[in-house]
Amino acid sequence: MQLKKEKFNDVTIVTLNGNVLDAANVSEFKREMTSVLTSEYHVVFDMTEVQFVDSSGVGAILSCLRTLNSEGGDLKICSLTKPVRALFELVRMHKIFDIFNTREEAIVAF
Amino acid sequence: MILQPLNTTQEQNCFEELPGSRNPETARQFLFSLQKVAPPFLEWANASLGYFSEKNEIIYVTGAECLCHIIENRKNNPHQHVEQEILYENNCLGTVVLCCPADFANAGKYLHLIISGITGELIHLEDESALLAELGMSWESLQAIYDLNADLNSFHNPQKLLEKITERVEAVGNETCAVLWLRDEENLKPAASTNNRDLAPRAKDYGIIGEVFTKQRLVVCNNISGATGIAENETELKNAVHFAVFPVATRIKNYGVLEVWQEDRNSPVFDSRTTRLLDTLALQAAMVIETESLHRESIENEKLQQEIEIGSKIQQILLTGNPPDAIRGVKIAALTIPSRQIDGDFYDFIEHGENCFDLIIGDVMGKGIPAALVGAATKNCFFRAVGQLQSTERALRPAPEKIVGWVNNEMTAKLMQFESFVTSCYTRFDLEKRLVTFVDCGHTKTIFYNHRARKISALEGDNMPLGFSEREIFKEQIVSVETGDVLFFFSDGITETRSADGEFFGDERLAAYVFENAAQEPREIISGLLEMLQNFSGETNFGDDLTCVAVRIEENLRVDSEGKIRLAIDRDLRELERVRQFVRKACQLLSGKPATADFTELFELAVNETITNVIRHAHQNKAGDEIQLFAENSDEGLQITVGYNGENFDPKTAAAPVFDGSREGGFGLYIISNCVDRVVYTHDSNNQNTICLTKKK
Repeated sequence: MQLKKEKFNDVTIVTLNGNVLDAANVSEFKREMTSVLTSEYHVVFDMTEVQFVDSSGVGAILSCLRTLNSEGGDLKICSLTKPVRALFELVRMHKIFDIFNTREEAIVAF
Repeated sequence: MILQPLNTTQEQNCFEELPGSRNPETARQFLFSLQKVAPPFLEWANASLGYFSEKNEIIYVTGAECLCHIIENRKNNPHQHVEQEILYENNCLGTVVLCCPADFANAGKYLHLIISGITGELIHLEDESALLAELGMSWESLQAIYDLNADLNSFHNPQKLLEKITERVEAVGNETCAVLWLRDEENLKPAASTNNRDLAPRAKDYGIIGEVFTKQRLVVCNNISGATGIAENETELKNAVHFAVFPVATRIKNYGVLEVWQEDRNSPVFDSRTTRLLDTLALQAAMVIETESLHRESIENEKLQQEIEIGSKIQQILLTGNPPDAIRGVKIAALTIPSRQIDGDFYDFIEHGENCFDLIIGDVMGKGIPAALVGAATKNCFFRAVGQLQSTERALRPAPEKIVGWVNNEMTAKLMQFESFVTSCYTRFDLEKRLVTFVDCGHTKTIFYNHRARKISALEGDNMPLGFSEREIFKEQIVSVETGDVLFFFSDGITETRSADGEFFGDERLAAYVFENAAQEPREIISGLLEMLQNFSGETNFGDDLTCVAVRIEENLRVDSEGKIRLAIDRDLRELERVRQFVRKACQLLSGKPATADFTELFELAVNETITNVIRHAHQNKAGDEIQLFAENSDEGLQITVGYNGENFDPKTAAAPVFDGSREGGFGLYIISNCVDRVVYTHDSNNQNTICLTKKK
């Protein structure tokens, strides 16, 4: 899948290369996130392109948040598309994650 | 034929590598000066003079009396014989040797004086203005050059011009004989000569002519009659009194040599004035050839462009058809790139309703317009065959093997007359039954990508090409296809594309490419391949036509006679994308009115979660590992039913979801029940499970 990683000072922006995060590609996502999670504290997951996320996808993002939190870091999410936001609200993840409209807002929020 | 580019590095290298030609211009200037200064001294002392290169090759000799001494016995005759190396700005220009008859008193002493006099004079090499001044002294020489230049203005017939150049040479002295030798691959060939001499070609490094050609250094020998050891290999020079050979070359290319000689004992020697004039004429000859070849090259380029355009038109109009766009369950892309020489590659499509079509692809043996016409005739014959068989056999879709047989019957006699044959592959795609029937007649093997097995294979028959025999019985073969499978048809122009090193693109590389790109849209498969071929060959114009057709089997989702849309998938999470596509299609085709985005997205999510659970948790039995889905309208709304074989599963036993972020899983059933209005789970004694999801419209 190959995640795109960009660095803004001490914040790493991760973008999914593709528009789906589901049970089919979630293991690959987790594997590729490992290097980010072990080396970075402040991570933003930019979801502009993502049109579909299922429960496995949400679980994987949640797992990233917990890993970062346990190390004293944080994960913020930005630019949710409508169907993805609907899912986040359904499983009440909008209360667990800090969600921003733009990546700029997410970056300054650390 | 395309002319070789003029500035090939090979030619340039041969200039640089030649020993002794580091300063050919300086050596040439020295020769001219020597010719001018030396004769009075030689006459006074009745002496002979030779000028040799560093490697003892003759550049200039004059004076018959002692020639034999000069050529053969230089070292054995010290008293009558003096030599001096000529150095100019630390470069050795060669050696000047002077000798006189044995009876000449005090020969050594005089010779030393003479040679130091000559060489001392010469070391101040003349500039170009001296050349012009000298040429200007002779009205004839100016006239000769003027005439020649006037002739050069119209270079319609270079052969005539070369003859004219030799005529001018002839006019330079009285009855000067001349041969213009031009390079022809490994030989030098007489291109024009005075008295139309009949001379055989010679190896380009043979004899004195070859030496002048390879070393680019002119040679002048005066008063040689009776001398041995000079020009012994050149039969045309056997009566020569004086001769000279000039390189015919421009700065970019070495074309040949101009050989001139005098047979009359009373004719004047080749002095510096004549030498320079002849040298200029030799240069003019080189210019004629170069202009001609540049001109021809530009015409060739223009012709090439025109031929490609004609080829491209023929191909578009006569040899190719448009892929059908109304066929369900398939995506097709086709490409043909004509080469300069049209190969007669052809393809076309015949539609049989919305679920079936035939693809004809073929390649005519032969090239050019005849091949294109044979291709067009054969292609049209397939259409006629289908029409004929439909009426005589009363079959809506005549069998491919019958169609091909009919075409072979019709075409064989004609193809034999043309001494040609056609390889082809006739393929029927039945997208309802998901069957591909093909009749391969010696065409390149179709590449078949099996999506489910993720394997590449070649579809190949053993029928003979069309036009071999009227008695040939054609046999069709059938393969079943599924969503995601790709069939790639092509002509040998693709696999026979060569790299700069001469390596073929080859079947394996093509198969690997199709394997890696099978998930792409067919037109992307083809455009990517074209790019790859251009990179591989390093060219944008190909030697052969490139023809290919890519067909990908797509989901053929449609409402059947029971009002249902059906899909069968593997127990593989990679099928989720197909499942979601199925839900979107169902929402679009069955909801009556356009489904809202929310409706579709929530249904998609519910079915996605259901299928994920089945794949992850339900243990499959040996038989029936497929998961069946169908969508239909019920009284309550849109209903999607998932059927699969596996253990009983009670949703009530599942743990309730936790929303505080402490658990990463366990949301699936919660999502399903919140996205649709009703979920019904059943299990029967055959371990057949159904999950029925209903959502109100």
